[in-house]
Amino acid sequence: MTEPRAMLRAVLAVFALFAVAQAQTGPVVETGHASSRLIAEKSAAVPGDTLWVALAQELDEGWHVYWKNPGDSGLPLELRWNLPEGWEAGEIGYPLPHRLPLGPLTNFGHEGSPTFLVPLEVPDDAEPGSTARFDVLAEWLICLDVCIPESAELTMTIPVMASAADMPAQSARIRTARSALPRDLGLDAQWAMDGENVVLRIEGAPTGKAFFFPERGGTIEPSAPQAQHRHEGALYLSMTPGIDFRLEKPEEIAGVLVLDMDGQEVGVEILARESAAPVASPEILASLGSGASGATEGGAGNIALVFLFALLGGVVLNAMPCVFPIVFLKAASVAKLGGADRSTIQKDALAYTAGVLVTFAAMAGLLLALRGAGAQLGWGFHLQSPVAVGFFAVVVFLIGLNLAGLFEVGTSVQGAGSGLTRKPGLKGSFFTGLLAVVVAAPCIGPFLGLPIGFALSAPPVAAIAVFLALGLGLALPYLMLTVVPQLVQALPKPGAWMVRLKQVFSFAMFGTVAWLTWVVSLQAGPQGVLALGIAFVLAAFGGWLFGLAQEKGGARPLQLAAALALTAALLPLAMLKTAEGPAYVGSLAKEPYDEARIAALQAEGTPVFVDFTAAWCVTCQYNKRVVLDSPEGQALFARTGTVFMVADLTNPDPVITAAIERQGRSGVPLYLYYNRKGETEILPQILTLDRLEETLERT
Amino acid sequence: MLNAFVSLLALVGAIPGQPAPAFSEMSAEGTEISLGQFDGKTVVLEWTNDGCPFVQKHYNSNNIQLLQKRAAAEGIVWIQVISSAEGKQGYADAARAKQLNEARGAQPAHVLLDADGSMGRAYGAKTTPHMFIIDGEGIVRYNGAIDTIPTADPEDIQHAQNYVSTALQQMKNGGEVVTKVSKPYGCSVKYADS
Repeated sequence: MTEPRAMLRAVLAVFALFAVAQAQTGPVVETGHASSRLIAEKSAAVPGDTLWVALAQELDEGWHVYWKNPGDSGLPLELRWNLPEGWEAGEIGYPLPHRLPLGPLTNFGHEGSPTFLVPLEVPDDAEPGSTARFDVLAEWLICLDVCIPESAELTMTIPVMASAADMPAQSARIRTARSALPRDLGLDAQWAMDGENVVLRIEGAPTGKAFFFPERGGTIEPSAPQAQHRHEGALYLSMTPGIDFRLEKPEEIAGVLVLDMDGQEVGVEILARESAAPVASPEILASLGSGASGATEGGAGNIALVFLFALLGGVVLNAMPCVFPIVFLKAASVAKLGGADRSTIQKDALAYTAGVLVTFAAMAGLLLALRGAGAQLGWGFHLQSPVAVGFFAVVVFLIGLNLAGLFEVGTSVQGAGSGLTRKPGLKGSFFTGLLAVVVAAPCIGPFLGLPIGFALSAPPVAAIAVFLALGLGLALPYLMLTVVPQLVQALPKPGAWMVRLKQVFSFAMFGTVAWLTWVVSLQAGPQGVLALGIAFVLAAFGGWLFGLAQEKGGARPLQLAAALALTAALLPLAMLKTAEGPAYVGSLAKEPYDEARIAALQAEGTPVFVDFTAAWCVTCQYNKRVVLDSPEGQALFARTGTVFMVADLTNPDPVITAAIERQGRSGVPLYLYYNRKGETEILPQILTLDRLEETLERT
Repeated sequence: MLNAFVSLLALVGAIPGQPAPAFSEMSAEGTEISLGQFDGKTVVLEWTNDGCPFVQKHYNSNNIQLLQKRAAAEGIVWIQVISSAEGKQGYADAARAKQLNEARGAQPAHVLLDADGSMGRAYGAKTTPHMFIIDGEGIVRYNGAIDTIPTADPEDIQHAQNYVSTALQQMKNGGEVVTKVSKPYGCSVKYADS
């Protein structure tokens, strides 16, 4: 080939690119509420290749078009192609569907700028150098609340060439649409009836809040909610069958599972076979609240177990590091009971129990309501807010000042001396119960993983019942005082020693304050600590004024000033804001939680240890100091080549919350170990070096 | 919560082979019409909304009017139901409902005014049109679309197979209705927001 001819060819090629640049989008056709055009991914059609084209639409604000199964009403897009000889159009690749509720009806469709993909097969004998022209009659139904059928005749011309280049804008739009197409992950899926409901089990479903969109109308009711539960890597969905299904059970159920992963939606193709046996255990069915068979005997037995664990876990919670300060507080009030008559002791214990139960019910109710509204929250969620943590810190600080003797609570204005012999305030006991729950909540102690995991996926009534059983367990040691009055006889008579005891206990409170301040420092940064410090000073000033008022026999102006100072203490708390940045500090080489990285490490046989933790979780901090961050612990990870990952829940994180829930848990600590063989193991919530060593060395 | 759940279940609606949900609704003529009064008679229910292009397809082409006339001649009770809530597309009070049918020459036996959507929800009516056939024993025999071609183009009517007239013919011949269920097409029923 001579030089000039090569030059000529290059110039021609450049011209050809420009010439076709206009050709890869067809003219825009405006219909009443949409503008539509055809776009192509490449600059040319290559013989024997697939040319991806798309109907690209821009819909009017609020208007929607429909998925291939449009749901309760609506019609899917209809394309009638008129292609050159030998060309073939494939199936329409729809964007992922969204639920569009309309009163009691629900449609499946698309809003905004949907891209409907179509692969065009270019025949082998298409002649390079020629121009292909094709058109399509597109018909769709577009609805706001009223519906309008629209149609457009769309055309496009594209050169046939031996090779083709990307067309920047269109290529990106088509590729984005193609990467959003539902993926076939080859997941095993089976379904079975459970009473009136269809229960679908999908093994190995990715994380995220799921919704199953059936491919055919009439299979699953579009408007019915889909209860979901995850257990050992499988996703369970309980769905209401549609009318076709009721008349004749289908052999298989096909559709798309859409998972909302942290705002990012992922679609997975599902083809589920009918299973002769139930696809889920009675416990899982019960937690799905599915059908009439939820209360089978086995299920009832296991629910009893859940309650037993909740009760037991509640009792054990008294010994967890995070509840310690409250145990001191309670011990201080119990000490006052020595020598009191039986009915006083009973009333006191019942007031405390009531405080515990009411708070548990309220917090569980709030959590369930927030989760119902779609928030990805776990137990202990309230400590993810620096405002809440700051508030508790100030309350605990005031309790410490009270125990130290700065002021009295619940007494008439007699001096501190006569306060010793007064009847303990029932309000005070109730409040202690309330505080015990609020502080204990982020602690998931031994036995509690199962019941709380169960509760978060159970119907609300069952969930609250589980939390109440947990509360009953927490209060049980004190309730025993009422049942066995001899225990109280064993208490020493009140006296001057109690003042000392209270003062000593106040330091447990100040210790808690130090910890909560550290939590706020991680959540809200140095500014947050300053705001909290101001709150402490104002609160202490209020407490002092309050004590002064008591000394002076209840001087009104002093009481007013005290109330004012306490209110002012709340103001800086409102300024606490979650700061950006990594919250977790540690010396070991640690990686942030990353599911893709775990999969990659597992693929090459590297073991991974995941520390699901949070700054507000005292048990987590205890384990970290004593085991994980200890020189022996670090050496152990290094020696076994275990990658240490930290999943930090100090601030809300839907991905981590979902990962915890996949293990049937709902809170931290959770220690997850992926061994070399790809098996996972959950380690106990109170770690020991021996146990860690035994686990890591074993495989 | 529980109510919402019950209403969701109810939306599955009238299932062929099972007794039809009972109803009692005010008609445009001002009388209370209930299912019970048509013992022994075949009843056709037609959900409608005059503003919906899919309904217009079948009225502007005189298709539904013909079906209604033929039904009346055979002693079949043809009932229009309007479940559009007040203020929504297709809502009609008694006067408007009568005037609409006069204007388009439609002669259903009754027009029921279901603005609260109770009857629509009980039947699981999803679109306009959405057709139901109930036999003389009160058993649902058909639930679905009016015909086989789900478009708003009147040209398609002549090519479509009409599910309702086919089912009525099969019932008249004493046989089973072959297609008992189809996917209704049209505009969504404009229920009150719930």
